Amino acid sequence: MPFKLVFLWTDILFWLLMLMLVTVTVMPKPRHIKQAWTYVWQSKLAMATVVIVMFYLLMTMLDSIHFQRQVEGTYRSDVESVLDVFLAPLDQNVETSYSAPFASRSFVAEAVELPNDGVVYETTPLNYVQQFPEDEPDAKIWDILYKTVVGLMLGLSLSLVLCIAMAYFLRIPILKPSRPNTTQWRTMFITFVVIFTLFAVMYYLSRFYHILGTDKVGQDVFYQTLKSIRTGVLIGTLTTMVLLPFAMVLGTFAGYFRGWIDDVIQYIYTTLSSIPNVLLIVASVLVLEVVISKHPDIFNNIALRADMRLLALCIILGVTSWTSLCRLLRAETLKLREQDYVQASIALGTSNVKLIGRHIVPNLMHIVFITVALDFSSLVLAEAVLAYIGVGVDPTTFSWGNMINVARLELAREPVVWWSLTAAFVFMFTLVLAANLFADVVQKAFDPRARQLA
Amino acid sequence: MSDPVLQVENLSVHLNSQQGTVYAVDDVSFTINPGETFCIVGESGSGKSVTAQSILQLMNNAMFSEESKIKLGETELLNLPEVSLRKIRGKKIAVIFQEPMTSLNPVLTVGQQISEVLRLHMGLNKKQAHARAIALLASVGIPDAAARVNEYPHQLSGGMKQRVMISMALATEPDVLVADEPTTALDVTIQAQVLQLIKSLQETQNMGIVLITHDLAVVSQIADTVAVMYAGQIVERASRDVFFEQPKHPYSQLLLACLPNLEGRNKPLQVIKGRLPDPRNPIKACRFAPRCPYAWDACHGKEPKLLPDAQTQVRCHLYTEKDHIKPEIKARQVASSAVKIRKTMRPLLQVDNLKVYYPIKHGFLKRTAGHVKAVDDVSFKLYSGETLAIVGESGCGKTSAAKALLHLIPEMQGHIQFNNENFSTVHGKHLRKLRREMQVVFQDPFSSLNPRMIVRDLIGEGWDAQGMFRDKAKREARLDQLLEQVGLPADCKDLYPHEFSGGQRQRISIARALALDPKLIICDEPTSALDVSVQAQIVNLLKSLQSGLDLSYIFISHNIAVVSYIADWVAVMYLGRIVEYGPVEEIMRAPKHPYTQALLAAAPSLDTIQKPPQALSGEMPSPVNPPVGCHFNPRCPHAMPVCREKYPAETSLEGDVKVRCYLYEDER
Repeated sequence: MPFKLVFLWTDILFWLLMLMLVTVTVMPKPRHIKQAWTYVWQSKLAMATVVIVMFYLLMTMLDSIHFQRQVEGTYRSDVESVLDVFLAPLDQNVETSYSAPFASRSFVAEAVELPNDGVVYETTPLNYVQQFPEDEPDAKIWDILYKTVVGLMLGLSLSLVLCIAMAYFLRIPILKPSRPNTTQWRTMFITFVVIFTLFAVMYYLSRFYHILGTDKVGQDVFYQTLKSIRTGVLIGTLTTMVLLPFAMVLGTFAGYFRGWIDDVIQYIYTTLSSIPNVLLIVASVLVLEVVISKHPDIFNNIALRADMRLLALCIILGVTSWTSLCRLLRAETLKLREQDYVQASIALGTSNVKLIGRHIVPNLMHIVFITVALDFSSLVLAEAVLAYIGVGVDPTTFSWGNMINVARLELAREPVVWWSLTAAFVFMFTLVLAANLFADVVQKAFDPRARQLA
Repeated sequence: MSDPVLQVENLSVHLNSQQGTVYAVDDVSFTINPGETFCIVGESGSGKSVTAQSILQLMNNAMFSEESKIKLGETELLNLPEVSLRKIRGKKIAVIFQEPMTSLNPVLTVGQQISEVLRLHMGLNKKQAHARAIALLASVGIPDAAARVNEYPHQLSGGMKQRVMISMALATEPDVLVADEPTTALDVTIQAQVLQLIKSLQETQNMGIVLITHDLAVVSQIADTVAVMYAGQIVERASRDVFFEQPKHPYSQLLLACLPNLEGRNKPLQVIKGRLPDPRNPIKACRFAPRCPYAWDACHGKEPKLLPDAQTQVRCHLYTEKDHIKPEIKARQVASSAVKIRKTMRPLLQVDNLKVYYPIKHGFLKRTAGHVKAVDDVSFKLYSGETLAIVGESGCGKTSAAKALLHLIPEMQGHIQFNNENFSTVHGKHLRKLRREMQVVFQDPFSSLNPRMIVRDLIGEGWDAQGMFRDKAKREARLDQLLEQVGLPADCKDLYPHEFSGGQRQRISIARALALDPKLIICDEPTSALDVSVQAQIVNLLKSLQSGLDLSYIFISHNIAVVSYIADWVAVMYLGRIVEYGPVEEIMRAPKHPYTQALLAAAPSLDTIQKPPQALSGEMPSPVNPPVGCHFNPRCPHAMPVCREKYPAETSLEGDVKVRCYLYEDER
């Protein structure tokens, strides 16, 4: 075989999570849950945002299949993902330093030795980009326009074919606008076509240009932003998976059993939440770094080390941020356990565990669901903040936080290097906004009170 | 006669909601003269509150029809802009709402809230307003008004808050007072006080009152004119005396027949079949026809008009077509269980010295500083097949006692002998097993069923807990049987609770309790959240189940009428103790304890139309600091010096009555 699959920890967990998501989607659900979801799908906003979130998930999936290539009998040490192959050759550092979006020469003037021993400072032509003759200033613009149109045509036709095929097989009418109070397929398809076409144009252009420029070491920024998606999504999802069991078990137990169990759990979470989170995270990250450096035999690979640090960050973030959800669930459980139906259930002789599973947890799920959806976006942002203060993911891992952290040093430069920051911001903003808007609709659907107020 | 203060003509109101247009009020007309009390009675959903709120236009989703007119004196209210309306609200027309707890702003003192009204509408300055607020509070019977004026709403009891609301409403000397269920949230003795207050204030201020209520007994005490509403229409309007002497509309007749009382206890209660029509699709005929025992073709065909008669206005075809022969309403015949014979001499349940003391914890280390004695030394016996009613006002400990019996309160002390087992000391698995013998039905049909479960799982919950009916077919058969027993359709097994009405939900609760074949069911106010016609259905159901299944009930209630109808034994509780205990007829006919006497006198009843309710002065003291001696002595009209020293011992009187009162000490 010319390559060997590499299973990173985060890959395994992410795919497990996807498997869970699929199982939950396919599983038969009680009617009130089904009704709530029907309500979600009847919202145009939900349909549009879910497509955007799916796009991010797809990128993460592509970036979560890792392998090592075989070259001349031995496996190369660097680990690649399917996304790298898809974006190649952008994964190589092809330039030497900064270059602006769509530029054909470098941003920074470099010292060029002239044949006659003189040194001239001037911008150098980029390796990756086709050079146009200097006497035809419009040639490049026409070339960009031409390639945009080609990408547009390609993207449009491909996405439309996909849409029509799907609509045909699932028998979904997309030609006439969806009536209100039915699933808003049309909105979904339109969003899909727009996103797909946009991406196709960008992808096609990126074959010829650095569409978002390059960074200090000459790495393509478009490539960086796409690679950062995985980090953001993983931190958002894995952390919630770490935080959920803590919050749910401790929250319901504290609220249901009260007494000393409640005291102990409350003590734990008040203590935990009174220590500044950043401090805890810094300490844990430092400990982890020591562990990694002491066991070079286990973490023998840069990718493995970076991945371990990402996973550790997820766990640390999860362990430090379950307290607020736990507090909410405890309060709600305290309220629920005084409900007459819980009292009646005790009078029927139901055991405690059965009672929690049957009466308490199902009535907490809306809070869990809403909090998870909202936490996801705040965790993506938290990663950026942590990277900024230097305790985030490994510096070799692509992440929006790292991008911003590096870019901030260049903000003082004149003329300013704006593209790294902007790219990271736009991609992160889109994900967080989409997730938040989707969470809003979900909240409205699952929280009966919110639905009444609307 | 002076001009009417308020005229409502052809009022029709549509409410726009997400579920479609609700035709809430249809063609309602009435006039109110100064000093007149106009009562609108109806069950929930009849449009009575919407009518009241329309007068002030408090709803923002309401649409009024073009013919609708609401005239205050000479002013037409419906055309007025919001700015002018604001000057009328609170000034010319005042409102009192049902819930005194939520009608007052908790962060302002009552004085500030009353002053606000005075300064806004009467143009008083800060000082004058404060002085006037004190005077107003004193006028509504709040003792020590000068101190109370600076208190916050949470420092006042429910009755006091309602008094404050009234004083606020009356601060501007309005022409019309709209009172929307002003006493529904209050205890009977407090209700009597508040009704008396409203009546006496009306006499001094000569205002018109629109009183909205579901309680016919309250109407009989206070009304001058009665209007019965059904499905958005007034179906009958008459003066009080005429109405209660001879109600004309079949709905009014049935409504009155629904009310339980002591005399009728051996007959099943009259019920009204079916439920209110959907207000989104109004029937284009008589709206009561589907439920009316007299209905014939004409009733299903065309809509009856409100007939102006000399004394009674009635909306019914029975009175337009004189020739039509009126069939008799036949009460359903059910085997009467007039005399119950005790099968065994051994009681099913014997409770001795039951106590529930909630600790009050103070300080950093949570040391116990004292106790709230919710239930204090309660003892009684219950034989199988009988019903014991525990009666008392809120806060008297009746619910705590019930929950203690069910082992739902860990602070319980005392001895409970149930079904030949010592029930007070069992725990763990053994307790879980024994629980099937003693079940419970709660008051609120909305919080007693898990909204996320379907009926099949709700009723089957006890079987899962007890490991019964593992076989699916048998379970299904038993489920069908239970649904039939409680009068629910067999095809409702996969529905969620919110798809049922309040009465039906209460039936589900009863089925859940019955599923385990218990010997005793504790019913904690099972009908107090229901309309009277539905209450009659549930009371009938409980009675027929009792005679069929040899069940015993502990029936907790504050409703004297229901208790006198359903109970065999009555225990009257006051501040955690049983003050009087005995057979229902003895207690209802000849109450011994002064508190029982006051309680029965305060409860409005249709039999005492002419007599105004006897108000008991004062309120129930806090159980943290009960009065020394007999707990009732500060409110007791017969209090003697000895009453202030020691709590009286139990005195057994003739007819199995036991009473704790010094008045009867000598008769021992």
